Amino acid sequence: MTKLIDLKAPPILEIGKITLPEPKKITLDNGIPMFVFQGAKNDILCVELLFNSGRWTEPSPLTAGSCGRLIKSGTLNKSSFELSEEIDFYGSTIKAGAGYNTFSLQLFTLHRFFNESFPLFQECLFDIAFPETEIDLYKSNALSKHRVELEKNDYVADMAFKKIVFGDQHPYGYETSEERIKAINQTDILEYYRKELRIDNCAIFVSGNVLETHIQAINNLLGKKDWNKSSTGLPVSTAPPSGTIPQQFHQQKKNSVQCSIVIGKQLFNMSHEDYPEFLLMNTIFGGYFGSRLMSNIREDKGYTYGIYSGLQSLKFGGVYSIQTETGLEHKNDCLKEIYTEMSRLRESRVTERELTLARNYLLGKFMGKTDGAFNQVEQFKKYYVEGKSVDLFDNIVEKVRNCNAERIRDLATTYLNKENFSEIVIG
Amino acid sequence: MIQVSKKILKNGLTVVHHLDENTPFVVVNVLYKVGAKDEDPERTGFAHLFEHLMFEGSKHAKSYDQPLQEAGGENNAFTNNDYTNYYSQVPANNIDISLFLEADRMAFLNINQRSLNVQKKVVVEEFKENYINQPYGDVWHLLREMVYEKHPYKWPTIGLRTEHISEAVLEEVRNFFSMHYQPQNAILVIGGNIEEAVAFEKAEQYFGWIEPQTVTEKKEVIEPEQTVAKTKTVYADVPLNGLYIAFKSTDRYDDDFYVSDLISDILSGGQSSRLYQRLVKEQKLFVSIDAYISASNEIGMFVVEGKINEDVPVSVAEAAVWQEIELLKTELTEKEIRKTKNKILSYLNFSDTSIMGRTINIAYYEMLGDANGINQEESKYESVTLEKIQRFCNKYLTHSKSNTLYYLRKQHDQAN
Repeated sequence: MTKLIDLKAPPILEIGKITLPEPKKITLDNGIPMFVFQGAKNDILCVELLFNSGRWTEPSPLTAGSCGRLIKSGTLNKSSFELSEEIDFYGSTIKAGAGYNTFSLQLFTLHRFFNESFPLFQECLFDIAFPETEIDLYKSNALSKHRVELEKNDYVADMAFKKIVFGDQHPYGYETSEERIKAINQTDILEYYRKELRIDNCAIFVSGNVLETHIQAINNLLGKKDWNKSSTGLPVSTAPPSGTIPQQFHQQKKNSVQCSIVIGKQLFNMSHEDYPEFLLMNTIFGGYFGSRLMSNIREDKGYTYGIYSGLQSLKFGGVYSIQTETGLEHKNDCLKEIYTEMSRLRESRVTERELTLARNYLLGKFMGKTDGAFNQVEQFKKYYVEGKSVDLFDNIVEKVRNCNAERIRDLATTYLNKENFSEIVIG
Repeated sequence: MIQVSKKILKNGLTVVHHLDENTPFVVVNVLYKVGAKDEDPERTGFAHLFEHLMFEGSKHAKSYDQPLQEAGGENNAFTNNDYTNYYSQVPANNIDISLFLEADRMAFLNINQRSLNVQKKVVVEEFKENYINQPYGDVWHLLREMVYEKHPYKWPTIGLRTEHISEAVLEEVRNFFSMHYQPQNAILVIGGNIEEAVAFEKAEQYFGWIEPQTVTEKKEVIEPEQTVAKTKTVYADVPLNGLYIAFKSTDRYDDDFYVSDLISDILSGGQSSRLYQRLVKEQKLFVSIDAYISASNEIGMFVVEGKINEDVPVSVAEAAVWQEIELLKTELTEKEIRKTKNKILSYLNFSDTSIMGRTINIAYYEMLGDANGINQEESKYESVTLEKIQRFCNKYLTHSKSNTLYYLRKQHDQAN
């Protein structure tokens, strides 16, 4: 039998200083800024070229993303297979992808294969031909995968939400549709590739166990004056975001046992003065496992496996949403409880205990963002993309530390009003 | 090289320490050697349901999550067929909170009707979210049942049916706890910014006094060898026909495990891999295709799965997969093996960069028998040879030992 012993909870100690260190900055011969994040036990290295581009500047919908997915589709001299075979042989990974306002090209490699892998990475940047046959195959598979995705309620709900909030012409809002997949074409992809992956549009992030020889090699290979690309970029999107008027969109789906719920609206990004304390308010509301939404709707009522809310900071604005999946029989109760929790947070002040709990949890999360080179680079990039310095990170941490219950209620009063939210239910 | 040191407390609890001075955190990982394979066939999904109940508080901590979050920590857990794993990460100065909470729930879990009722509902929603309301969501239910005749791997961790979960009663929860949640059935790993001596001292302080109860010996199940190919066909509202071919494979302790993993990578690891190159890109038979192993402790599974292109007959796609399996036995070069080893080497080096991931991994290797095993993976993969690969293919990947699941699109005349 277990011995009876009176265990006592140890005291909780304060969370110490949290700061995001400045990386080492180097400027390549052609002016590209390069940021170095040092620190990894193993002999590994990640080189990322980040372009100020993405959906915001693409000639037609889905072009930036397709350019990323086809980044190993072959050069004039090498087939896609030959290129992939070489990269794979050195155990390296080359990835590319487009965000709303970024286009990223990454190389992950071991030290011992750096010299062989880096020229291949360079080929992906300079010489990809985007052959028609590769594009056709990519489109046909993308179409099939899209049809599978459409069977998933959460995918449909999220797409409908973004479309309602930003509009179907806006780069943050447009839908992936069969027509748009079918319209992907070589001319646009090549135009995007030539005009958007430019020297004056680029920053480099190097992380891992970075040696001086790596830095020199990067400068030799990417620091030359001319990349032989277009000197001007594509025009930026001019579609104004729609979505100031909240909408309700409910769609039933045959054979569903659960429905996907998204409740959300446009909001601000990290530059906004309310951003830091809003993060804390959101943590209390639905941002962590101990949140009000989770405690009520999962832990008390058992309506869902999980419910979360979050603010996505974008370069131009932001989007705030609450997302969950619930059994059809719980749908109405679940919706009701979400709105009840909004009004509870507006109407009464949180206790000091609840505030401390959420604040410390959030501080622990911030600490995690400073832990090691790979976390630091991810965090730094977010600030860099939005044109902010790392000081903002430290300021956000301080504002979260000093936020009080009064302020939480004020923010809830300003931002958590049912009538401003769109409501999407699929299933 | 990942440095680990180990100590076994008097009550049988294994404690492993790993130092990383570059992180501001300490991670506490407690692994219990109990999983879905230890369940009553009439109560499948129980180990996982129990995992949920471990977060419902204990005698000296009304809530598990709250103190941990207040200490700036985060935590989670997962259950699979072999084991159940709990992990938390806290700023290093709050290590005591984490150890206290783990020790208290190991000794005095608060088991009550209310928690059980709520968590049964939550798990049923989880079941629906991931296994019912998803296209191809029940594939693992179907495949496991085909591949295993006797072995409890024949049901998935979530359980066979939602009824098994909703019918669970409190008495079963109590029994499960005392049968499996004992110190000698657990591994505690403390990783991160904490000195070895301090870690062992605190482990002793928080866990050393827990007196163990006897843990039921596990019976060994003899799984008969498969001699005849099996097939099954299901129809569902899915946009593409799915093809799944599964074989019984080796256990995790056998050197052949590394062989099987390497083979799955030759087939589908990376864009230059055989199945992707030939069947997706050249022959355009599949939209996507993948080969992988289940990495279970005991009899594993080797699976090839693909979504077939709309206008391609299933039989044509299936024949092409078999041709690729046969080609492994006859056409394989040293260069291709080298390439695959390099990819694995890279994966191993990139996979343990976070202290949380590393600590969880150390616990896993200790469960397999030795935490230091984490440092031997590279050489084990290196020792795979062309002969070993071909021997494996001839032994395991044969038609008579295959289990083929046709997951087909419901035609309009079959729709209700």
